[in-house]
Amino acid sequence: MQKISPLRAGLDAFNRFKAQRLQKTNETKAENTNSTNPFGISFKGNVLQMDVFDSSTKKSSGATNPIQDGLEKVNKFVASARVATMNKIESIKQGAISFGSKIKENVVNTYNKLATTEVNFDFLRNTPSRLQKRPVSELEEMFKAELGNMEV
Amino acid sequence: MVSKKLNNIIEALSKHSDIDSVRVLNEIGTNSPSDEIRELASKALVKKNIKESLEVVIKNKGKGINDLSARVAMTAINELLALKDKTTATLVLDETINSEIEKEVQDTARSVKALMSFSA
Repeated sequence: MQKISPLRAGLDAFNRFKAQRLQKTNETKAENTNSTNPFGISFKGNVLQMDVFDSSTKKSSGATNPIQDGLEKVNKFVASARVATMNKIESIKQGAISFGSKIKENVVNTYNKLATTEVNFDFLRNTPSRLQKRPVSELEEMFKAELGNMEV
Repeated sequence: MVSKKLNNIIEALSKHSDIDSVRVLNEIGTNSPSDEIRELASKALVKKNIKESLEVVIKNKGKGINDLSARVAMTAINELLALKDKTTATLVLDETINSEIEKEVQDTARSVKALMSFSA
């Protein structure tokens, strides 16, 4: 009977486990390959997965369809232009609203001012040329009245 | 500060054809405590350029060219010197110099007459 050291026995056991695991993994891979790639197409010795087909299809379709690219670009441009236009319209709207409110405020102020203003044309009536046509007695009274106002 | 209306009234009185305007300017204008009013009234009386109005500013002590305010007196003198027709003013000045009025008034009238002869 061969005498085996505990270390050697442990190493052998590990090698056996490793071999079993490798075998199991290969079996699972083969099953998976058949399920995801039913046609079994290989490239340079590797079996092509389903994902590869998907991604390559996407890439090729993008590259070979310039009209769609163009359309996408146009769509993006239209969308950005639309947003910019909306912003511009919004700012114009705000400006128009503020202008309108300002005009309204001015009109109200003017109306209030006019309502409390007494219009007289004394400055036209009291020109020297008009006054000298009046009698002196009337001018004397006006003179006295104005002096009285000055003293007050 | 004299109002525009008061200024216009005094100007209207200076241009008024009624002789009573001289009385108003003399009684109310030249007797006013305000230098500004007296100045305007003196100016108006000289501008009228009639014997009655010129006598007020030349013969009366404390009025017109004899006013205690130098500004009022100088304005009246300037107005006299600026007259186009100085005949009446010279006549009144001569009367004042030759009359028996206060010496101070006579001296002022003499000085103004001398100035008028220079400026003519």
